[in-house]
Amino acid sequence: MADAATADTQRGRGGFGRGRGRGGDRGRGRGRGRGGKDEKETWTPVTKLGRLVKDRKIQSIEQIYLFSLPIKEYQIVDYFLPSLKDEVMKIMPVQKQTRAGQRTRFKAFVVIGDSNGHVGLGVKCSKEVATAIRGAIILAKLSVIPVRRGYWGSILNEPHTVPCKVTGKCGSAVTRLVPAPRGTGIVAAPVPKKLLQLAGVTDCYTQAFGSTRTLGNFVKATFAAIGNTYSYLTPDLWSETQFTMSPYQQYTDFLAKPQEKRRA
Amino acid sequence: MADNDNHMDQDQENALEEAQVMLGFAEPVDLEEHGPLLAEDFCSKMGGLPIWLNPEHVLDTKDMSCDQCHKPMTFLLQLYSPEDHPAEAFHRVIYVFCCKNGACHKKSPQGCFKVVRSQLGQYNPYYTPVSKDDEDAAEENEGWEPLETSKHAKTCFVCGMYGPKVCSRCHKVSYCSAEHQSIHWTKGLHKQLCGTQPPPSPANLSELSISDNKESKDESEEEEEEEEEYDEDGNVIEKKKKKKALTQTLTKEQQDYANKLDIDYRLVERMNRFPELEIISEAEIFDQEALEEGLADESSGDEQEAEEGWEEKAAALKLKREKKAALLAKKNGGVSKSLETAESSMNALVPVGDEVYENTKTDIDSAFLTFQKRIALYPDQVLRYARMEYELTNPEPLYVSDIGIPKAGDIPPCPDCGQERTFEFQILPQMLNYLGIDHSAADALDFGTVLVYSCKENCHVEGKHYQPEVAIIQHFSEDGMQGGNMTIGPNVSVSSK
Repeated sequence: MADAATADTQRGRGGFGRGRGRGGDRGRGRGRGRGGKDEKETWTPVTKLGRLVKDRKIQSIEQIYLFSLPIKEYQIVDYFLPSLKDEVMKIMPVQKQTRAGQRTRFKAFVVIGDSNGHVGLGVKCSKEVATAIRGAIILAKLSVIPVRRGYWGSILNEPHTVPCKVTGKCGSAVTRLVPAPRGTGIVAAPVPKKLLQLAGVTDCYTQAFGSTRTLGNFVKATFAAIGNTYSYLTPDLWSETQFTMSPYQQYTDFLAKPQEKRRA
Repeated sequence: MADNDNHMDQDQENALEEAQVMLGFAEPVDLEEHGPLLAEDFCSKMGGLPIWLNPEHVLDTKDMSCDQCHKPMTFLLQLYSPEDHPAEAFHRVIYVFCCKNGACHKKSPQGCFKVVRSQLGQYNPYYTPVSKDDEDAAEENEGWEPLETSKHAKTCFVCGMYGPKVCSRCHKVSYCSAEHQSIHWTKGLHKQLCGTQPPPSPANLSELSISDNKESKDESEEEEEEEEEYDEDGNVIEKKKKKKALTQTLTKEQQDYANKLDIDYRLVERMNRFPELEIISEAEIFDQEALEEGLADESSGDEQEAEEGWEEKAAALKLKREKKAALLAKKNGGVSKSLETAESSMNALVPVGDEVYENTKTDIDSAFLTFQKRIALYPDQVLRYARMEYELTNPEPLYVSDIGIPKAGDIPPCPDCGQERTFEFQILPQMLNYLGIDHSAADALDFGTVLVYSCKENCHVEGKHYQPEVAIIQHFSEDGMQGGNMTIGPNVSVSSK
């Protein structure tokens, strides 16, 4: 068959990448132009949102939250929140029974936050602990959520506590967050305490129900409670909102005009 | 085997042997070293004007119009992918055209990408056949010259397809339609230059619409466009020799015009074409096992907690991270409060007996994560070419989501020979970064990936120079990464005490 006839390589067909004539040394390989180290650091966005972020068309991550746009690339979060700190809550080994014995993998729970209104939670399972942690950090970055903080009493200085009583549930674990006066600190078990510290909540009372020893459920319940702070309709939000344009539409009209001018 | 030492090292040679996928990267055309891209280079490129493999028969805009807006499509890329199996596919190029208007894509993505295949045998009336019998030498850089007797069709100055009409004033520039003529008249400076200069042939006019490879505009040695081949007289070689002398004078004068009118040349170029770049190929070197292990990471339901042997590993890792954090804290001035206190870390590692029924599923877009993991090795790849071997099984494309995966029935078989179409290559969304489109516009071009399927047998039909192939577009899913079974939503109220 023809595939044996070519003296090129063992490949029967070369397709793209196999050059003929002057094209041969032109298209193949990339000895030139490769930065090497450089490539690893620059981020080539894949989604439209990523491209908008890279072009600096979006000023803050709040614009993305406002329109509930799905964030698929963790570099977007890195770009807006460079000072995120991560915390490994737990590394749990899980086993699966196979014919050849037991297969053990490690599940890592990572909480990430900037102590100023953004938290994320990531869970990842992998054969190695380091891989699980790395994967969980990326997933945590992708799940970063804004946290609404409010006041307990007088509206003075910066918000320091949750705006109202919120609760979150996962499995049988229920966590309830209650506003606290300034100076109380976070009155909670170590697991939700970590999460609330990373969220930037300074004072909070908590109540936990259900099986809080199941750390996975417990931390997810607290994360859900923190997320609910922005879902709660408080009286100050009663006034009608003026809808702004989504980042995907914002610049259309603006850009249409200068183009006309340039055509002359 | 011919080895081009100056371009590929041993690693890449080995990878080429076993590679399953060839990756394409977009690189600017290196004008100093290799000169402009010409038809006899048989290269792959994106943007600019299409370089026709068969210079006598070129595509007509009738065949290459968007299904939605009925305007001629813009040339996106061409891939030179020769095959050995049918002798007529010795030279083989796949052309991809797309509609530049993103609104058409939103309405119906499938009609806005068109793919055609063009092939030529080794002995054809346009290029010299290989001079030596040894194919290795042919691979080096010998032998491919355009034949003097090859005829060239007139091509439209704006889009590069068949251009039967000419400018009514100077009768020198060809167009495919009245719209492109008016575009060239206004945005392409033809209004100012028609008839006023020494006869502006497409060769010299190409100096005007300079692709943005060179930053400096008064580069008198620029000869990038291939249009010198498609001269009306059919006199290819003469033009080439004359061109160098002409370009030096013309560029400067037209440069003055531009300065007077204050027009950005690059804007003129991009009005209807994408920026011209070359597509360089490289084999994908990756560790199959590591990848597969990574893919199997998602939690399965029947896992239970283990208790032996892992504590040391986890504790050691924890210690390492703590040390690193402490070092960083010291570097930063020491005041940054590390939240990793000793007690909390100990608590995190203590195994608890009854955690068998943990709810640890996360709602992730696993197909997208797989996709991301695979491209993370080479983040700036724009193309994945998968038809490397005469394999029995068809290679699988890298999907970007679970939705929109084409089933076997979605891909029509080749209309000419009836054989099935198999996956050949896919265009990745990173290419959109290189097209110079404005992403913030509501109707900007956007896709997840474009999968191109082509006839398995590379059938050849006499007289039919461009055979249509199939492009399937897949978009990203709208899922975010959070949610799942966490109740983030309206407040669940608990009675207060």
